[in-house]
Amino acid sequence: MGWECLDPTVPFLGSFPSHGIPAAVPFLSTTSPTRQRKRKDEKRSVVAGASRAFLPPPSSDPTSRPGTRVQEAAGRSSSTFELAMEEDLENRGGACPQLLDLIPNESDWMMAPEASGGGRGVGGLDDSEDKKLELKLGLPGVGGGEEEAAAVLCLDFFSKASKTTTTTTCTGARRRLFESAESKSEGPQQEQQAGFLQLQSRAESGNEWPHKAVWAGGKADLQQSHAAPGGAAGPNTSSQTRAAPAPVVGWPPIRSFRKNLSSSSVKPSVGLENDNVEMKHKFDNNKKGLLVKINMDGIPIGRKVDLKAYDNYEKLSLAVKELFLGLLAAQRDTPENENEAAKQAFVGLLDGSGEYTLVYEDNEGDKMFVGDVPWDMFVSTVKRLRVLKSSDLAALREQSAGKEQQLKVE
Amino acid sequence: MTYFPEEVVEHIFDFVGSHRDRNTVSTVCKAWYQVERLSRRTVFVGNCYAIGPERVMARFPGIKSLSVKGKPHFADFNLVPYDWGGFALPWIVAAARLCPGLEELRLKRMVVTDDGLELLARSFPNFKSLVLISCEGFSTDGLATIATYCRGLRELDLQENEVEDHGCQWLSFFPDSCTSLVSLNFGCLKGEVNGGALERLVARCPNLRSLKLSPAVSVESLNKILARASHLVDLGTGSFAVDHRTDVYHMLMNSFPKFKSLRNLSGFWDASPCCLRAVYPVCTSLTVLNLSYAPAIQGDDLIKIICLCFKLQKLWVLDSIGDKGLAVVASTCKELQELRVFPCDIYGAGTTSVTEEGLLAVSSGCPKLNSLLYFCYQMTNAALITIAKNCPHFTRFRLCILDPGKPDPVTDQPLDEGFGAIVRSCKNLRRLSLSGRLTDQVFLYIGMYAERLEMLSIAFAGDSDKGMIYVLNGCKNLRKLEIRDCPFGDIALLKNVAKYETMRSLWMSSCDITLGGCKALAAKMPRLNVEIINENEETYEFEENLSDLHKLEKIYVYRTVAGPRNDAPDFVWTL
Repeated sequence: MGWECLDPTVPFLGSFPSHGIPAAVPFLSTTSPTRQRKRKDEKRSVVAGASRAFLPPPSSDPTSRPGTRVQEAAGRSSSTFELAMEEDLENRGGACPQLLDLIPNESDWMMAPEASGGGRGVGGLDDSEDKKLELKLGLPGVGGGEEEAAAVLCLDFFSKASKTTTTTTCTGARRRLFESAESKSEGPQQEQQAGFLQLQSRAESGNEWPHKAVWAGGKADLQQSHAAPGGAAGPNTSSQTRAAPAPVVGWPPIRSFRKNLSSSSVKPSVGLENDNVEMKHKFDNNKKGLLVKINMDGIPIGRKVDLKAYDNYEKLSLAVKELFLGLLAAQRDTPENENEAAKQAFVGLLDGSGEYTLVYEDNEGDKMFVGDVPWDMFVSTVKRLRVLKSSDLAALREQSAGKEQQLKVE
Repeated sequence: MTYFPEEVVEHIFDFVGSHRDRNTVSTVCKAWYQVERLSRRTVFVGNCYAIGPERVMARFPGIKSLSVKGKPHFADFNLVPYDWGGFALPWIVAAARLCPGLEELRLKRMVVTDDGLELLARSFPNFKSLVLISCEGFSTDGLATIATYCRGLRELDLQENEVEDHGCQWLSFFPDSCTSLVSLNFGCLKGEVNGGALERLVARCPNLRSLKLSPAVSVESLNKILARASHLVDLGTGSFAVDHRTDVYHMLMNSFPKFKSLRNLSGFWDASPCCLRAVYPVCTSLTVLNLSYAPAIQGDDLIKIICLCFKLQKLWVLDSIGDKGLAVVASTCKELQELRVFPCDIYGAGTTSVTEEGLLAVSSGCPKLNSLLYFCYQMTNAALITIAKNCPHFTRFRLCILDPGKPDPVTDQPLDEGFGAIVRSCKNLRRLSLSGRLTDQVFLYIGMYAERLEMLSIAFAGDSDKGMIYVLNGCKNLRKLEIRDCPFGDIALLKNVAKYETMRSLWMSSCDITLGGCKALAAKMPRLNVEIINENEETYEFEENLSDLHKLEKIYVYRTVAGPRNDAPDFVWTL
């Protein structure tokens, strides 16, 4: 399966208000009134703009008969829709429409006004509101100091465990991802924070590829100030990279075999005579990136890291820390700030002196300590990485010593 | 017309080709029903659970070709649990008993077993063509039985199936007397291939026109094959991994110019840019080119090859082609009808990809464009409106903006207007997939304008029940509606229940549908199967204890004359 990314360690559920379905509500109006109300209140204020007036103001009374609401809306707006659309299409040419503010003042959409460039973007957004949301699907710990936001949004896209407890909350949570999340800190780094809808000015990019607004993690745009976590290339920041979006089951809608295309190496057979079965050998002529899996002891969900983004072991070690720090801290149940103890866990990854050690499996299937061979050789032979508890290594050493002895004997 | 003898009526019906027309014709009167059913040669069953196989075979005893589809489309993206259903065996069994003259079987998204394949192979003496698309449940052993028993097999076409590898010998099971193959496609097989057997098979099939090799077939093997199959029209190259400094590569270079008939090229799983040069000689006559399995080919190399393909009608590439490459497509491929741009690197470490600029260029340069599947990271309303103006002939328009719910980056608006322009301008639009930030507005437009729309895929869109209601109330030709992660609830579900009987199916996952809503639907519409797919192990044991307010993760609703199915697994409840 493509997008299974189960992270039951993410504590966001604790910080999420429960969407208990009110007992008395008949099912006909269970488009979750709580959620409905919140959504309607927060989203639909139409600011000025006659040509966009076709959008009917929402009923803010969620308990009004749903049927009526729809009817009203339909009746009211059908004739104006056509008109408005015509006008709108004509107006398209030049001016940026500042008319329709779908994002009201109590906005859940995070807008970085500086980033949105001169005059572009939605007018009327008051970003000094304290309910500015950064919606990130980064893992906890991403982007310094925004654990909660990230944690909150590290959604139940992943967690079946969470589903068992709160099916309703989950769907609620999912909805909320896209409209609001808990209000998170605005933080000083507005233009660098990952907004769900963070827009980057094209002018800023100055190159062919406009900044990609990121859906999750904001890693691409955080590159400048934070070390790159996850699959995003470290040094190649700016507009040409984007953060790895947090995996959603079944998204993007492509077949599974396509998801692994760029990092898998298919086995071609070398032809032999007639009936002989063809031998396989792998080779990887993929020049683009070298994504290898990396798992950490005690963390159920693995990550992938692009080795081409680094040119030495130190940077790799730092990246590994960035990848797992949040998860480890979450597991240790200290999501508030980056736990010093968790950080400490990643000291000494390469030399065996720390709590964890970085090892890898090479193309011959052997497990090796990271750091022994020159970097280039490492990159060309590594197949996957593991972060092991150093205390477990002693046991492994004994095992492998045993094997070596066997080999020597043979 | 009823005064004509049956033979005459039947002869007239020979000219009535399409399924829909034949279905209509059969409802005119009993006589016509009879004539039609006995003269029908092809049957297409869009949902294998809509009708029982015996009923189909009994009604149409003379069929030569049967197509059946199983799982809902979202199964392609792992949203449907593995053992949900869609079993092919009942169909094969029924056909074996009632329609032994069957010559062609096409199955899509079904579970096919080796036993089923064996039964198939043994039951139909005239069997000519097996096409399996996105199926699973069988192994190379099953293929071996097909090879063994299907004398006179003309076509074996395996597209994107999950096939268990039990060894490479299945190709050797084609007897020496098998010389009838016209089309052989095993590109989806992952295991080793017996090169010798393959080469001999190709050599003895002079009518072979379409050959698609799996990634395990080496270039050495390919060379030998190509030497014997110069009449190929359609080639899937296999791995194509070769060092351009070797003799093997030079042989390849010399092979391709001999292919005067080659029109369709795909494969290239491990191709590196240098060895792509070998195919340049055939590019000028290509009509179909699929480079979407070749991540190592970068934008510039793609451009070099596309520059030559001025007759191209269908192009599948990865987004490494970039906007720049798409501009080259626009200026070169004036005959282009179908374009698919797949994401190369969804884990985010990629560099180039495509934006609205690329699509704009293609829309303006390729006037015949009518089918699109486009993965990109952003799209603007302005671009979509222009694209709609440039290409009013779209029949399939599938746009996937990889960040769900992302608005127009320039204006921060939802993409309602852009998609609205598409449905308004493209009067023949039959299939539409939406993405990006979308409000109920876009559904209003779709309901109003998309009259010919048959299939609609929605994800992470809409604000309220209204959205879904607009669609259900409009779109008179809607057949398949699939929705995920949208705020549509019971009100929308129940607003227009009669609509579902005019449609093939409705899929909703991660929406706001409750158990109570589904119960109400099932109660009102007895000829629908309302299936609840509940993968939550804790709750499905306590079905009777679940309140009506319990939100459902996945529902699949489809019209049927066969009643609730008897092969549903534990986690599927049919209300």
